[in-house]
Amino acid sequence: MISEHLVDLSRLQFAVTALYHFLFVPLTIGMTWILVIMESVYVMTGKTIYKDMTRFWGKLYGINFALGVTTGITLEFQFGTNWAYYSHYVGDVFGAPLAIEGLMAFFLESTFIGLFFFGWNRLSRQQHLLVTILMAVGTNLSALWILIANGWMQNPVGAEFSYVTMRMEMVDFWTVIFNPDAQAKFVHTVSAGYTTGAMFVLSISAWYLLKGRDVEFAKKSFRIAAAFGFASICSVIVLGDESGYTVGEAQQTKLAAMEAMWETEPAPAPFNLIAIPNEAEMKNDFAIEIPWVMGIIGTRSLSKQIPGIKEIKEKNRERIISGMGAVTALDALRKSPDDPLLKKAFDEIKADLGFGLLLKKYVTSFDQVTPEIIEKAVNDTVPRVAPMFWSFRLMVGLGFLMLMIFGFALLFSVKGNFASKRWLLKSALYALPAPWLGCELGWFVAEYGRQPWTIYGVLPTHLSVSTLSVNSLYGSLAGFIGFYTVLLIVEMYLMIKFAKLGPGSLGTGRYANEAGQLAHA
Amino acid sequence: MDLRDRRLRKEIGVILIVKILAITALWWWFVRDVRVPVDTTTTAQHLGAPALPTLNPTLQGNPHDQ
Repeated sequence: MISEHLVDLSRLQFAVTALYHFLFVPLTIGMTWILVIMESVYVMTGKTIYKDMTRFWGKLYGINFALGVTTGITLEFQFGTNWAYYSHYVGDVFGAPLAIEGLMAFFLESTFIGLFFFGWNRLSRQQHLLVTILMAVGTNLSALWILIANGWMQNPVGAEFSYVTMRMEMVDFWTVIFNPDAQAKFVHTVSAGYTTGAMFVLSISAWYLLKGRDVEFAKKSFRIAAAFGFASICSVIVLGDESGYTVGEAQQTKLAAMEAMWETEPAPAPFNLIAIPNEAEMKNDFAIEIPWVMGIIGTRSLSKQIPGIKEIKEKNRERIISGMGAVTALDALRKSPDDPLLKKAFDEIKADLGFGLLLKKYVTSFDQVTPEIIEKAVNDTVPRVAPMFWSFRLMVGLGFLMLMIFGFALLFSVKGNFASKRWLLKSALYALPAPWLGCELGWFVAEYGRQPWTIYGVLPTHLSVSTLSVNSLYGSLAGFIGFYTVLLIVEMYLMIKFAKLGPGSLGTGRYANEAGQLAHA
Repeated sequence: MDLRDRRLRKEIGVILIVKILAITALWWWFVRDVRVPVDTTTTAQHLGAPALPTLNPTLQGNPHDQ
């Protein structure tokens, strides 16, 4: 049996590297479209200040890109080293979008980023704008492919298990591409990236205005960020709702855990605004409920029920018992692969194969299975409720906080008096970490909520890991943490340095701080 | 290209080189020699279970309806 410690360390290593990686990604995604907007205004109006804005914010974007690029490579190392069984089991499906993502990122995105920085004096205005647009498209397309891969892990459609090759094989490429989970996840995630880019520009512009420096530059940047940010955060909320609906369709366990829904309530189910989940007794010690809301969000109807955790566990118990038969039938079928009766028997219950495999965490042979072990496996099928419930609510709360900030920023931008609203400028400044925190919490809910599976309902996490030594994992974990920490420190140093220098760092002679910047630079 | 851009490009260039070296070092120490040979047979052994014995009656349930 695989050691629990090994599984936990492998998960921790992947989580740490993925969360670090995603500190860089949303800013890159969001800034590209803000640069497109700024440069479009420059091309349309010919006003130099918009060119300066594109170049200055582009410089901060470039620092983030340079620091962030290749931080995802360590994740790919881990697919091979730490998750070898996972890679074999799903490589036929997972490999294609991952490879396309790599090609998009390294060829399309990187090529146009190079042209963006080095093309100012070599391309016409229109040509350079086209480069900026293609850079944004490339960045978003590379996000699309990685989210198609991740969406398939949440809702494995368009593939079937082959008992001959012992892995999932793609049967319908377009079903994988147009997987509703992947599409909902893509639009929700890139919108969160746009919000991050907008908040970054809004916060730093607010800081310039609070300091009373580069006022015209900051005002124009603030207005663009307010409008783009408001549209983006509205998209995040609306598309997040859509993402929640697809979760309700494909991952009922995750939805029930996010909402601390222990019982199957009569339709339409109420929404637990606040609750204190009691996992041991499978109930909420305290809850403030809003009638109907969960049913409407989760099912888009007033009559459909959402199953609670207790009902889900009972169904999973049946599937685990059926899954034992599927594992046994698989074993027999591999010994006699031409036996049509065995094949028919396996086909009838192969959907429960993954549930049978959940028992392999506790036993090497099914003759060791007891009712207590089945009970443990049943309990494993639901992630811990409290972390899911609170992470989701914190993410949603941050979303509505940003909606208010962008809403007021846009309102006072339209009125033309935002620069005198110091409370608004301070709120925008202090809200700078909010989108990153929201993004990280969103990923936590998505990935922790998928447990105990790497591929939902198909492959348990504990059977996905490689049989490495624990010491090796500790070593590589320390190496990765050290590497990413250094990168983060350098990123913060350069970002703060150039944000403080401001547009004066362009050396145009039109902005504050130009005389003193050489001493800082 | 002014002085500040040159300085920034130099700093980013150094960072990229250091990063490539760091990633190569991580690969060298932790990945290069790790070979986890996984194929159809090893996966079957990893996932498979011996033939199902006669189950304890308390464990028997209705197979999940497909």
